[in-house]
Amino acid sequence: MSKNILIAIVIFAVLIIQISFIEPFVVGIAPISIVVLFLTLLVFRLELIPLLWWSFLTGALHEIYSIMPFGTFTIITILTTIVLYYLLKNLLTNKSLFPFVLMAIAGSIIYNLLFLAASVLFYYTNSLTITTYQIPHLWSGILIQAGVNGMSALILFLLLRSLTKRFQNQFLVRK
Amino acid sequence: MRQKIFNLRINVLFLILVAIVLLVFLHSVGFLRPVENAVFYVLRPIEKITYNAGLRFFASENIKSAVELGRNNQDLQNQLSNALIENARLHSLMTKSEVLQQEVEYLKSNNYEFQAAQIIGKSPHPGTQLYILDRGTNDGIAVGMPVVYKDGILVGKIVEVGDNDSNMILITDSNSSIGAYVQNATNSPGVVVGKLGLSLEMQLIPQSEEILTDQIVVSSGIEENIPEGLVIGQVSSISNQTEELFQTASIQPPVTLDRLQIVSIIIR
Repeated sequence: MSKNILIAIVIFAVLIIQISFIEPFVVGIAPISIVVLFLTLLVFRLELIPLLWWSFLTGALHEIYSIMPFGTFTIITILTTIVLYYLLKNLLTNKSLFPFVLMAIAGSIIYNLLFLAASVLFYYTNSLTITTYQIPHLWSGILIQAGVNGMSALILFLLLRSLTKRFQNQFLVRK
Repeated sequence: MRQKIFNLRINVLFLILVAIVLLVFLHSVGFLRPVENAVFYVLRPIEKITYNAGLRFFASENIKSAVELGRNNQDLQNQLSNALIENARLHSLMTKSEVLQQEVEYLKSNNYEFQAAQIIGKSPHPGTQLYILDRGTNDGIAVGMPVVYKDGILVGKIVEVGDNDSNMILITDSNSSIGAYVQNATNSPGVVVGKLGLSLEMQLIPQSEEILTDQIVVSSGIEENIPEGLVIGQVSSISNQTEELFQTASIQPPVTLDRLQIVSIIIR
């Protein structure tokens, strides 16, 4: 119960920090996406069912501040989570530092590409009065975000490992 | 066992899909509006604090002496923006006394009604300059209303409104275009468009018009809700290639548009 409350509070905190602290002072892609970092953390710690519901809540809360058709951010967030989960279970099967960093980098790229695809789709279907796909310094912005997210994941992992015993190396075994 | 896990996954994905469809449906029929308003209401004070903290954090300098320089620079910018507004007014006084008379009469008969608003965040769309304001339809805000800073610097317009919040698009956004004219002898007309959130450009200025750097650009009032005479910026450079039909000018806004805190929305 307390774990659920903690995750819910962290989701709200992540939303507030991303919307009110990071995004307003950046033109183009933000240098860091703590939403993706949070999703990476969830994928690392939770099983599939709670993971999908929490990512659903994360995406749904983003909808309040979005001008895109309702549901877009929820779908993007869930798809990113599913891809990260697939990566962890099938390619990066070691729950250690490097998979965590790689997932944060991959998550950042996937999240932005999904957003870009949705923006282009809505532009060509005239679903939006405002075009959202003309992003200045798009590719360099995505690369910078992926790099900063990777570095942040590294710091976060080491920090969490020093604070808790849950981030010790674990090897997944396929049953 | 494997079959069971597969089925479980399929079931979860199906449930999530149903939840998304339900979410979209409930939003479209307005059933979620009280929940959305409640979330927004609860988060708003925290977002104000976070935004102000971000403003201090990102606007501040790392070196102590640079802090002082920044403060001086801000003061100078404030003075410059006031001077621009004053200059625009004086220019009108000198060259357009009849129009000014009409403006005075217009202002007397149609006092602008303002609604002060605070920026509390930015929409999570990297390609746009959409800022979230803490005022909505409950405060009389509607789509298309101009957003000004201080006493008449046009910074954006409202593009989406909720009950207690609204989205303002900055004039530097690529989606923004505003009818404008340069305050010179002939009031050279044009359209000010945003360039990827980075700068402003005045386009469609006829080649016959003579414009100079440092001249002031104001709104022309051709849009329904945007009154004439709101300061947009100052001409910083001009591109007038003879083979082109129109001239283009770069416009320098009098304030740093992505560092705003309190703005005013002209209601009428």
